[in-house]
Amino acid sequence: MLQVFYKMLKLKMNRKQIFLSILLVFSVLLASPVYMFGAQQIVKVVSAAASFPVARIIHDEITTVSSIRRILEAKISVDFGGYTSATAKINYYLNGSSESILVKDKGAVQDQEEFYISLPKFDSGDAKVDYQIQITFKDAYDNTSYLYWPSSSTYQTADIVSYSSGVVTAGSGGTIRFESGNQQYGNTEIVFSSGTFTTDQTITITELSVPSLSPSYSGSVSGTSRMVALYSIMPLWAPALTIPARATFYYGTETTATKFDLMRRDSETDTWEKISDITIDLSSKTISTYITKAGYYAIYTSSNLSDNDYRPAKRVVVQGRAVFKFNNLSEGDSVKIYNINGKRIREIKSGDSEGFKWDGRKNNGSYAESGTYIYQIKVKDKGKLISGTIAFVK
Amino acid sequence: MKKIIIITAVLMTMVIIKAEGAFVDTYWGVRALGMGGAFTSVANDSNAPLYNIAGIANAVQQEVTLMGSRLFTGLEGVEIGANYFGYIHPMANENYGAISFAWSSISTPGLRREDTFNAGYARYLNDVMRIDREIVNITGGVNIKYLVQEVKFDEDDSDLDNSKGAVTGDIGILAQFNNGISLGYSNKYITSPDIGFVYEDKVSNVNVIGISYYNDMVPVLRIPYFTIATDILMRDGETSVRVGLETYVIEGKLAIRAGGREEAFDLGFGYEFVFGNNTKLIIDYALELPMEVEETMGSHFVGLSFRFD
Repeated sequence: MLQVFYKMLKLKMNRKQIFLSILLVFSVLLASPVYMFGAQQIVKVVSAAASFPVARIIHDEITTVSSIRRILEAKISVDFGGYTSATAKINYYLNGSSESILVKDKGAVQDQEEFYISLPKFDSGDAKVDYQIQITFKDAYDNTSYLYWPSSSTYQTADIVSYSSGVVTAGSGGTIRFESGNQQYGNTEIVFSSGTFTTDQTITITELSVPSLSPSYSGSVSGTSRMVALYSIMPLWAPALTIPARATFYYGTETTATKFDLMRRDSETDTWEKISDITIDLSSKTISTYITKAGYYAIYTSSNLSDNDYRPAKRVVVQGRAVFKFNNLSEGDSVKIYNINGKRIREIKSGDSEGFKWDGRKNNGSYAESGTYIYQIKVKDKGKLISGTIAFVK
Repeated sequence: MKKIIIITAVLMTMVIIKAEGAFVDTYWGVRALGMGGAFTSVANDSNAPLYNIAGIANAVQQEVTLMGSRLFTGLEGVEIGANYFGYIHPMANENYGAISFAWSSISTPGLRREDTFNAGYARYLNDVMRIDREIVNITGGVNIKYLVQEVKFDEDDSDLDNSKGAVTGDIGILAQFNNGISLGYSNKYITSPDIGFVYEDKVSNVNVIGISYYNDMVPVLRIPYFTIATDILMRDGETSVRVGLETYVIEGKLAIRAGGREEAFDLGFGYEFVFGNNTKLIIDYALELPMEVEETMGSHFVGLSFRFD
């Protein structure tokens, strides 16, 4: 340092030159913290920079909502940055009205949180919904800031529709997707490979009300089955495809069924035929198969159910970690839970908000004691009582 | 008499700890079950360790009992068994009282089980309390218990231990008046131990007050060796009542029992085989019919007891 000043004096620099030189020297010194403060200070500088709150919302836009399902459920991922809590809500316009709902109130410090927000079911006459995601962040000092998706002044429009069309080219094939609007589960789509058609084809997938067609059917579907989804794939093409197309059908959230039949209506005989080779994905609530013909496709709850198909798969539940889920139940069915003394502590009916699930709570809302419990499932259609044991512990 | 009232009042006003835990008190001892579980003030055989430990002090012979059962029969998918073993050993000198050992278990294969191991001691308290035994026979006892629950968790909960155990105890007092009336009090799981796997899960403290009346021959009705009993059970702030009846016919060898509580009623019988002067083999059976559980053929309990010097 002294040497630098000595040279400055010796060179007889003017004031401006001296000022610039000093500024240059200090800039170099500031950029070299090791020289000034040692290695420990570098860590502090870096960590201070990293703790600066940089929050963001990650969301894939929803452009359509099924007019049959009428449910918009958005998958939202939030990077908390340096914030400690966040409250999420969706602002939405429906037929000119503006509403907001508080859907998520977090209090935990997490780096990232992924969750779903569902809007109330739309009315059948609604044509579109404009929505905006708003996250209110708070830091450790209770300072508040807001983040919006798509932005604070714009909304995403999702059309409430019953169909989706697209062109499948002869050369490269294509995918026709009818988005349900529920990002927690799957969509209905058909994937055509290249060379499926010799000329370009416009394909339309339409979701229909259940049952909008005659419920008469043939084959193994019995009277206890219920149609839960109905689609048409048009136009009819002939002859049948030599390269089968991969079709996936979404059956919605309304059913607790775990076994299904996929049926196709034969346009020539006007009867329903069962498609034997299907894959049921309960997590995405879809059924997949390969199809060679267009026409009407319907999903029925399977009538071929054993007692175990109704029982909960999970027999031990720890409070707060999971719930008992009773499957394949519908309107009119019920589940009763008894303690080991034979005292009924809970009754679950089809109208209950949680569906056919038991989280360990008694009818009065308090948690039951740890223990072995007996359940009795009453299946109205079958006139059947199915019993079993489960354990709830804390 | 004043002392009895004071002790009873003190015990009854003990704080009932509000907790919701496992080890629901039920299903032990065939004779007691035949009487609907109203046994706290009766407690005069090898079922006493689980109902009122004070009762073992009245045993004049050694007694061992075994119980096996099947609960809620007729329900496909329900397989629950309750088992019980009890042993009473009265000391040669009455002043030393009696000791007992017991084990009770309720289990569902592949799901969950609860086991309780008991070691008890009781003696008469008239000398301490300076009360004439000709008027009322008072006994008191303590039970040390080890509780263990085992759960077969699935993969989702594989991070948890499969079993959890804890030590606790019971205290009991029994007053048998010379006019046939008996009063009993039992405070069970007195320390409310925590047996939770994830969260605090305290075994509920249980307070039971029992009253019964015994008569060798009920006047007018001419019912021999007749006992009528009731228990008032307080657990988690809830109160339930159990009632039971017992009579012995055919020269006192065949016992006929009935009883019930809010959610079930019970029927039972027992037959006593006598070998020599002081050896007895007793076979007991009880049927419990739940009022609310549907399509069950009831719970069946069979017991075998042996009394000897």
